Amino acid sequence: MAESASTNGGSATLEAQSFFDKYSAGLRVLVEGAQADTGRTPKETIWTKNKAKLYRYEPAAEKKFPVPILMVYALINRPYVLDLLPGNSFVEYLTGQGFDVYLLDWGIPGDEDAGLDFEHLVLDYLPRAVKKVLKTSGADEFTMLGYCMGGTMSAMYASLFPEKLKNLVMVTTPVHFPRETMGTYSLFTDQKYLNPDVLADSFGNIPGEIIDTGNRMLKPVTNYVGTYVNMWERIFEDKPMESWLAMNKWVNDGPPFPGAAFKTWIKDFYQQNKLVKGEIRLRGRQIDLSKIEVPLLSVAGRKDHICLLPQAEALMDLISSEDKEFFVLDAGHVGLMTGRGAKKGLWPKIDTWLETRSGI
Amino acid sequence: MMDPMGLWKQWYETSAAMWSNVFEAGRENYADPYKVYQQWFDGLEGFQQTFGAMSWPSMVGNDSLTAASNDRPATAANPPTEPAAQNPGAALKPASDAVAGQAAEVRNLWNQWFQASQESWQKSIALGQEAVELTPRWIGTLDQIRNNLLSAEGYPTDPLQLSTRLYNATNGPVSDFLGDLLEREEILDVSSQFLQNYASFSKVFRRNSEDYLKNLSLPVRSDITRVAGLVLALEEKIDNLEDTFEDFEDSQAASQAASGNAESLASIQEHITGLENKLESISNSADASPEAASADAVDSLEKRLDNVEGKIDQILAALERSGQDDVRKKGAS
Repeated sequence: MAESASTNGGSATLEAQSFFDKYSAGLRVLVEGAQADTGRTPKETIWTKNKAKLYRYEPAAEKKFPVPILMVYALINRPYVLDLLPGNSFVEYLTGQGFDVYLLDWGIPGDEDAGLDFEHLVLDYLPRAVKKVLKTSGADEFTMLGYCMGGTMSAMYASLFPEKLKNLVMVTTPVHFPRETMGTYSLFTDQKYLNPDVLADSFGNIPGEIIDTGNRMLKPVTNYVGTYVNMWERIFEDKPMESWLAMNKWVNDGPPFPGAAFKTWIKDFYQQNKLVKGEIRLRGRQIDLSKIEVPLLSVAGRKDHICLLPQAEALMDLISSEDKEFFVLDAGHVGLMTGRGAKKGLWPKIDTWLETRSGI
Repeated sequence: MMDPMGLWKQWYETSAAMWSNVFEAGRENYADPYKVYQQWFDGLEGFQQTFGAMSWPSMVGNDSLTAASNDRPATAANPPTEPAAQNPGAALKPASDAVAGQAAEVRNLWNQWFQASQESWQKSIALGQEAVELTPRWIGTLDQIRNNLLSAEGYPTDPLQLSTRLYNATNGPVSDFLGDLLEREEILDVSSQFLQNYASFSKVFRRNSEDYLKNLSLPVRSDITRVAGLVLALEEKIDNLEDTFEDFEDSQAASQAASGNAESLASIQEHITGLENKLESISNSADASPEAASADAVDSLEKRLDNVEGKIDQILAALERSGQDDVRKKGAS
């Protein structure tokens, strides 16, 4: 009797201890923020310009494909979502399949970069990065893979500099911004409610928190409550936390958005939809998407509330490529690129598509 | 003038009727509890119009001014400009005009303040009306939540299960409600105004902070930004140099005239190595102790960067000239 009482008391103490340990672990995440070691695929920096860095990833397997892949990310959020964790990394996957993979990381802009605009990124940064990729890889052609706004920049680059471009892959890339089908985003970016000139003039670079809040308000309950309900559930049910921590770290790691680029993005793209009309000019050079003739794969997510399907699909009717495919996955904007769904959906799709177009 | 007690009684009766109808979802019997305030505003508007129609001199009385002046005996210091009997008010016209001008200004200020106050009250009351109109929608949301909770099997056995079940039950209906709410013009207007005000405030605060620190001769963020901008411009020149050099290298690799240019290439390489060493020392001194950087250090850094930039311009020009020479020689052969 005494033994069972002490045993019961002991197990109750252990349970209480376990409860407090888990509770404090959750509190630590809430107070200090998620900590995770991301972007661990071995890489080297082969070129820098200002804050931008061009990484070359060490091949995990023997290089099978001579045509290298240059990944271009957006200005919103950090690009290590493409290399989140070992076992959950698109970069790691591609290097394992024998591709020579490069990533252009735009870096974190400083106050001196408030004047950085799309003309600098597309006409100065990208051509130089491409030159380095070709020189390093020893190839004559390359594949450009753009994610979200990076895809928009890639499309603009492809229309101006098609010379060495072999293939173009666009992932959740908005090119068309029709007010009537963009949902809440169209209201948030409407001229009546958002004046980017005021923000750019006041802040220089738009703080990442403002961009992040705008994106989170598309699904406020899920983003502000659901994420942390999920966290507590994982903690108390002893489920692995690594993926959650890495994603949470990435979501809260938004860099500032250069003011000039922000103004162009909101006014020329979101408010006036100039890209599809052929009215975008970079240093006087007109962006005409019909000049894209290379093989193109465009991937979009059915549950993506940031880049809706019509926004991505519009590219199919604008380009002149004969070899083109629009592929839809049942996923969201980020879920399409990471996680279990991505390993079964996006990654093998891109791998298969590029296999036959990368020079073997 | 409205009887305060009567006003209160009307508000009370209307509110009671409104709340009793809300719970029966009787929107068709909806009574506007704020209508009494509208009456108050109408009354105030009328008062404003009455006050605005009245001019200051008429309130004070031109007659009284002229009467006062007529009572004052004429003296050498105060000679009558015109016979008082013929034009009693003429002597006092400039003074009365000045008073009238000041009065008009005061009246305008009062009008503006009144209109601003009235508009802000009307807006907040309109928002309140909108919130009341959302009540049936919110009650519908609560009904959905209740149904979701009751449809779950079993009972939660621990707080985690309870909170998870609560979240799962509320997520959908509340998300829909908030989604509709966020798309309303009133919310978007307020949010937009808040964002603009925040941006303006940040700008003013930053500017004043910088002015204050500049007066203390401390380097501020804009100083560092300016130097960083110079470094970026320098980097751009080096990038151009590198590009030109690479193109030159590529063209030379293809040609047979490499030996003739070995010496010039070697000297250019030496220059570039010297420049890289200088840039590193500049970068190290900028990184060393940014907090202790003084305005003088920032100025000297700028001057050194200007010198380095000048030298790079010279090298670039020399390289371009040598490239052109080679092209001309090739053309001749």
